Amino acid sequence: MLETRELTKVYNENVLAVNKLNLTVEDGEIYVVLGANGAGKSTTISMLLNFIEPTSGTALVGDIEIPKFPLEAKKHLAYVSENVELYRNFTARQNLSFFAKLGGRKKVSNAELDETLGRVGLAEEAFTRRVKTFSKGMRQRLGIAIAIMKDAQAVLLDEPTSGLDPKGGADFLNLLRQLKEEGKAIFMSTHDIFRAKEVADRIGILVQGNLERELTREEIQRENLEELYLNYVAGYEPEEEASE
Amino acid sequence: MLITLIRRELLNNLMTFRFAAATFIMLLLVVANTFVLINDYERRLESHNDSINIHKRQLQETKTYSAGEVRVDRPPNPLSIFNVGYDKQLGNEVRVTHIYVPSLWDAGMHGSSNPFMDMFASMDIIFIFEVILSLLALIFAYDAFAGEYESGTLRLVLTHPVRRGNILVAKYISAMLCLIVPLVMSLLLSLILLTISTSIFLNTDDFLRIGGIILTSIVYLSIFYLIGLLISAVTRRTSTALMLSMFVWGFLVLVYPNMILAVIPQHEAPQERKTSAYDKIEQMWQEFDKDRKHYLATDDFPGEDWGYELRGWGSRSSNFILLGNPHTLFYKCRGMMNFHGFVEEVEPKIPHARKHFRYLGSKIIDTAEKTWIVRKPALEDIYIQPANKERIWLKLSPVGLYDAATKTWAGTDVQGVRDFFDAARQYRKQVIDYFYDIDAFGSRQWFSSDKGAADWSDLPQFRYQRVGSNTNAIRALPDVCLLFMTNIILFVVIFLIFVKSEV
Amino acid sequence: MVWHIAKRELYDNLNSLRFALAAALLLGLMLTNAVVHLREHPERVRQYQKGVSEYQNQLTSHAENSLYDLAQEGPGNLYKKLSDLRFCAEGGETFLSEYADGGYNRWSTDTLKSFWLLAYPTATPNRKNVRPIVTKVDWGFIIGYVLSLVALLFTFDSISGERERGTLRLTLANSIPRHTVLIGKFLGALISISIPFTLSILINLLVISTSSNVHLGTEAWGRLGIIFFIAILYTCLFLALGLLVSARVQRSAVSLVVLLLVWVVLVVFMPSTLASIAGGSPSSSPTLDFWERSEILHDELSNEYDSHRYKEPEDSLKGMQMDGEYVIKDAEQQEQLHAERLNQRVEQVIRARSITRLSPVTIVQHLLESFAGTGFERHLQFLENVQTYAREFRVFIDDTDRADPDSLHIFGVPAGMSKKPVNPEAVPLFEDTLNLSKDFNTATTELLLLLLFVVVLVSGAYLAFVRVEV
Repeated sequence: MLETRELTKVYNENVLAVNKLNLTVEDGEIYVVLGANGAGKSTTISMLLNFIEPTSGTALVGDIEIPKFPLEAKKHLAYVSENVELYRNFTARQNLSFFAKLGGRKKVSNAELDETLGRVGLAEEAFTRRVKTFSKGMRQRLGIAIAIMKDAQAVLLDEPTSGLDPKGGADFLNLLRQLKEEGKAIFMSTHDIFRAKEVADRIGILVQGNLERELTREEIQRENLEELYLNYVAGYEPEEEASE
Repeated sequence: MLITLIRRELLNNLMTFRFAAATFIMLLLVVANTFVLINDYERRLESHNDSINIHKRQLQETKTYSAGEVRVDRPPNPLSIFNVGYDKQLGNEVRVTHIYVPSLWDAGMHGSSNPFMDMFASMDIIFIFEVILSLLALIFAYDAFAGEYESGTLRLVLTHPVRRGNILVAKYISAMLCLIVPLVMSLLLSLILLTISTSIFLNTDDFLRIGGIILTSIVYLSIFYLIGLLISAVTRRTSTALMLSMFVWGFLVLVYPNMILAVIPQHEAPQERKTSAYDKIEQMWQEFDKDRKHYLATDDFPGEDWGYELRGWGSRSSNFILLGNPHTLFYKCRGMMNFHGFVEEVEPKIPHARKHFRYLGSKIIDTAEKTWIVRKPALEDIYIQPANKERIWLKLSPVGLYDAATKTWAGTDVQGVRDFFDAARQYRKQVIDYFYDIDAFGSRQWFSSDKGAADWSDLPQFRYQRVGSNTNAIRALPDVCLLFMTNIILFVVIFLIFVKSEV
Repeated sequence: MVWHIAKRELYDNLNSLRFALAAALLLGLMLTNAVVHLREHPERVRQYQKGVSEYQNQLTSHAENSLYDLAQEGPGNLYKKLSDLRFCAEGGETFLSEYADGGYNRWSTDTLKSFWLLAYPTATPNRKNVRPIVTKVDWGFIIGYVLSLVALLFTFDSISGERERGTLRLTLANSIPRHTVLIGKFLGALISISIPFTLSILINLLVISTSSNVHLGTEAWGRLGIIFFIAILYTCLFLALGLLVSARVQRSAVSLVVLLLVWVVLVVFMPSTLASIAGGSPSSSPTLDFWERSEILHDELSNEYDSHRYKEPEDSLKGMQMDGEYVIKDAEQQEQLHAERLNQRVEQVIRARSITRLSPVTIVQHLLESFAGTGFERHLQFLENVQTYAREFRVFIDDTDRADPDSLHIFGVPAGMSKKPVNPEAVPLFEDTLNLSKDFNTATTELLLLLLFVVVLVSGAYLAFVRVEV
């Protein structure tokens, strides 16, 4: 379970990036946060990973307070970023093995590595290829493999589907669903409304650091998400409206 | 955990192009230059041996004690291959005579050397390290943080329960391991070449000194790696970090050491220090001259000719003269007499002359010792102190510290060269004692070889041993410590920046 | 179109960190150079003038004494004319003597004195110098080392970087021939380096020329113009090298590593390593040192003289002739010995210098020396001038003696020569000259070599860029 309580981040004393965010992601649930660029999605994830200290409020994974016990908390968190380059000179297997060991695994057999790599849909010939020859989709799959390998309670994904081709995107969502089946709490930020609609159990709309609206599964099906989202975003971006 | 991090970093470094290029270029330069340097050393050694033989022969051929010139030669230091320092440029031929106390400023150079060749900068292995090691360290470091910030791997790593301190330590250790490989490999190769060479003999002390040089090199390497890390952590962008690193390198290695001495106010000892010391010395010699003349006027022999009107075959200088050089505070007296036969009426004068020369010998020795007491501290103030002050300015850059420390290890610093002159002065005392023992000053052979020539075979032999490696170590310690401190400070600063930084 | 691309490059560079750093570095170095020159040059000029006036006074006093005195003592120390442009190239001047000894006398007996000979003292500033040894920050250093490094830092990513960012594809998607792009990039980089370089040079010259102690004539400005041109040519060389590697290599980081290592080998190591290799072969391992040889030669001559001389009465004509022959022959022999030694040393240096020309930095330093009127080639010119003058001086003595009917025309002995005083104004004076056309002659090889380097590298860069796959 992932939870934020009054989580707030103020940059340079006046730029409010995230404002008193309260949300909970249950185990076996996919929570998608939607928002324009600069809405505070990445800041939230950064705070959940203790990359930056929250100005006030706190976040928990399970019952561990992340800002207080970051190292302990990180054992239960996995992360997939928007565009991970990984170690270019390493093969997929080497990258995966390295991160598995960072996650606390003592010994990782090649069979296990290969199984995970296969699971995310990487072709066998790619296992021993250097990552610098990978396409974006392949790198993203490898990123997921790293998250899977860690077997963490919560998985954080920062715009993971941007730049993926349709097939890659679909495969990616399938992988997410599998993780959900395994009972992970999945927190994903995106601005891709359609994929969000497809996969999300709940959706939060983040506008200028405020969580403006939370939609449940039923609401997602019922309402016209697209329109809703654009309304929220448009309300705060009058200039763009005017220019069109 | 740390092991995992280190292993990844190591693998990552080892697979890069820069590692291969670094190793290749180091080996190439060091091996090629070792050949050249060994050659150069052998040539200098040959020239040294030639000189010893020439001096020995010339001495044997001299028939009188007063005309004999005992000269000692400073052997080239085999470790000058590592850091040539002052080994090549300062005088390597000293006259050991009773008329003055020799110092570095009175030394000459072997006749066969070509002074024009000094125009070309001389190269040594430490210079290669100074330039290349620092460059390599920066090339290894510039993307250590910046690259991971950019590619996002740092974020990914930090999502795992890893302490930032561990990441820093892992990066440091693995990069240092990678950098030490070309360093040690090239040094080993050059050592192999050294030991193969027939003309170079290295003893245990030398190997200890080389060990000291290796250690210092590693510490130096580490400073530049840490500077690179600092830049990388602060700029967070590889292209910026790279550019900044290169300029910092250019400044520290290329510009600062050459520019700083031109920029700072010149350290010169006041002119009065020179003149007052010189006046004092001159006065002492004038006093000596007065006493000498007094002796000539009051002894049993009529007339005041310093040569007692000896006439015969051979040569003598007509006057007994005093000579000085106010720049080096050098002062001596000269009166040469070298006969190989006398006309008959001279014989009764000879006992007087012998008595006089016996008196003159001890008087000159006393005066020379007395003036040395004035001259030694004056030389120290005029030449050594300003040079030391300039050296301190150079040591503000790690390059200067490294250069100074390795010079000290190799024994090619000014102090190391001066050790030889201490030995030469010690030897002068032995020679004088020997002269007293055989009554050379009062002997007929002092000025004439008509009844038996001077016998040089029992003259004490000159022996010179470089100081022990422990002395080198003690002398190098302050600089090595400063290098260490710089390392620690840099490391702490990087740690604080990295721990506080947001990813 | 070229200009369009160059402008973009220029704009890019002007806003970059490296531009600011390069400008600061160059400016700082050039200012240091100017300040140091102003501090040291007046003292050098004073020394030179003192030397010259001493020489003239001596010459006058000897001339007023008698012809014999003049012929025996010789002209005295002949000073090398100073170059006003020493700040451009130090040229190892400290290792070269400031004068030639045209009044070197070795011995005298009760009746005879040795005649003067031309000796070449060697300045060995290091023998007693315990101070730290550093390279002088002259233009040669700034251009040879710093400017070349800056040139590489400006070009290492100009092609590989664009390929990494994908902008190269965008550029080449337009209908622009590739060579235009390359020339544009080249010009852009050249101009962006020239700006701080020219600026710092101007400030340097401003500081130097406003001081009252230094006067730069029109010829000096012409020489400075040539030096500037050489510096630009040299920069082109490294720009072309940078572009070449940048085009061949996939990533800019790799490109920089390659370039830096090439630079280090070419600029830092090659000059001194090559010099040690070339200087290494000693002409011949001498078993006798110079002074001993000189002494033996002298002893042989004087023994022969002694064995015959006593047969003749002290002041007979025959005896005087023998005396004269002895003195003159001795001076000739010894001068020959000195000249031989000088030639040997010079040959060794010339050998070393010609081999080090493989490194572009040495080429540019030699060129700068030539045009600044300093360094070894200039020293050789000076020595030639000295030798010409020595001949002239001896011919003058000869002619003056012949013109005196009272003289016995026996050189080498006081009694045998004209005893009349000589008009000091008639004695030829030594005038050391600096000649631009001569400098050009010595520099042509190097200039051509530099041009060759540039052409090869530019065409290399062109070929590499044409074949680049984007």
